[in-house]
Amino acid sequence: MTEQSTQQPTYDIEARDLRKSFGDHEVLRGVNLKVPKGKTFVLVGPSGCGKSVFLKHIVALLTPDSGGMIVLGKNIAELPPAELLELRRHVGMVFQSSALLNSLTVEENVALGLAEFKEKSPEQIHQIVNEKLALVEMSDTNRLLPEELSGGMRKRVAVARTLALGPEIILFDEPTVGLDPLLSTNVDELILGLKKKIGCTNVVVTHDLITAFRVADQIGMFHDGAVTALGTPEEFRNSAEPVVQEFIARNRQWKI
Amino acid sequence: MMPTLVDRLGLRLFGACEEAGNMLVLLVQSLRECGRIAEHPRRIFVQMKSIGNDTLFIASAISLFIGMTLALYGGYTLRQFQFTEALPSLVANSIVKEMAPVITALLLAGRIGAAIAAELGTMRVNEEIDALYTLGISPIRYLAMPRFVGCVTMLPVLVVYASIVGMFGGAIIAAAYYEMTFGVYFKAAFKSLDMSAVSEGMLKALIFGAIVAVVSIHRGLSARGGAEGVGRAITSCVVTSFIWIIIGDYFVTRFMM
Repeated sequence: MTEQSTQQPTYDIEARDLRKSFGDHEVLRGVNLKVPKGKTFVLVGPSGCGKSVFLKHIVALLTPDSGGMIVLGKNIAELPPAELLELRRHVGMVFQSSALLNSLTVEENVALGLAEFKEKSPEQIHQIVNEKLALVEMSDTNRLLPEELSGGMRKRVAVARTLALGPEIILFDEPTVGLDPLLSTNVDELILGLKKKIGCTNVVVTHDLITAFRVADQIGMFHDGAVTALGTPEEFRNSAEPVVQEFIARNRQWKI
Repeated sequence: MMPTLVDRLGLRLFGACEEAGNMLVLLVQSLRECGRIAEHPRRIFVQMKSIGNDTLFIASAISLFIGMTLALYGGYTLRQFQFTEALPSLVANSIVKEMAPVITALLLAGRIGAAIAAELGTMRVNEEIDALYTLGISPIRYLAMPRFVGCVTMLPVLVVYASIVGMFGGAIIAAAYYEMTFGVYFKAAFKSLDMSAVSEGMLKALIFGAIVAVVSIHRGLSARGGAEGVGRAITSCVVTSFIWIIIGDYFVTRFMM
């Protein structure tokens, strides 16, 4: 399966022979990948295959040992710290654990990025917070603390926090892990809704194929630290790659 | 092949040098961010208030009893030489130059440093620090700088307070056992304190405040491995701070002689 397109798309993210090791363990073994603008790209693969490590390279939480990561046209390895912080404001990330600051209220969490840069008045920030909370169906939770929210609600607030900065790319790290099937569907719909309403590029890392097939424009499979299969959900489902078929079969079995 | 003793020692030394380098970088980054103090007054005030609130009572109790113990020992020895009039000077100089800065710094490390390491360590393992990065927020500016400024400004204040309470402790013993009134005692004590004694105490307070802040922030931000990792970060923060405070104390004392 190869990446096919009649028109040349523009890419928001491009990994070029990306390599990363932790000690003697090589996690990424020359990843080459392009994520088209405005699409939802889903990375699947078994736990520990390097999906989340790859995701953290996109937002420069990790730096590669070799190779390049081009995000919004900039090679992140070459950016000075100030420009890197600026670039990160265009790339939002929703963490597996939601990573809300526990000592802050929902409103303070969502306003965090905006308040720090002091580019908007408190009234404008309050308005943006309310807009983003409404977008993720979390209106009127402004004064609650993260500990008062369920896992799914926390994930929604984390998405609102990311949206507040108006990112061009949103990264989701295992968005449905730890959620029941109904809440997982809810999060899937949220991702689909975001693409429709905001038109941003989404990268979703998951080992849940139900989520993958539901939200993806393109699916890539990680295996042994590299991308072994890439294509539309339909192409992925019909892939001749044995690892893909085994992964699909195991996922189906596990879900039952 | 099994690593030899020399290999292991070499690795430990290399690790310690790397860690010291990282702390130095953190110190420089925190100092650089101090240029933005005026932008974050509330965050800094919260830290200063919490440091003051959490240490004042214990600092009072410790300083009072240290002053009393010093006066007891000092008075007993001086009486053998019929020189008890030197007691206020002995207590005041010992407290201001040595006991107040060191004891208050150790207290700061155990009480506030451990709390900083626990808070930042928990934030690290919960991915909250990574989340700050992805929002374009520097954790050094948002988390480290207010704590650094809080420790460095509040420790001198605490040292001044602890010195006064310690001298008061000495005055109680002087009055009770060595027939010296409070007025005579304090007059002699303040007369014996020159600028160099006060500046030595303040210099130590500033340096120890920076040590506690940098060590605790560094340990917190580099915590790994869930709750167990946070526990390790706290223990390591307190032990490392204690060691550096005692080593730093020797060098500052030597430098000021």
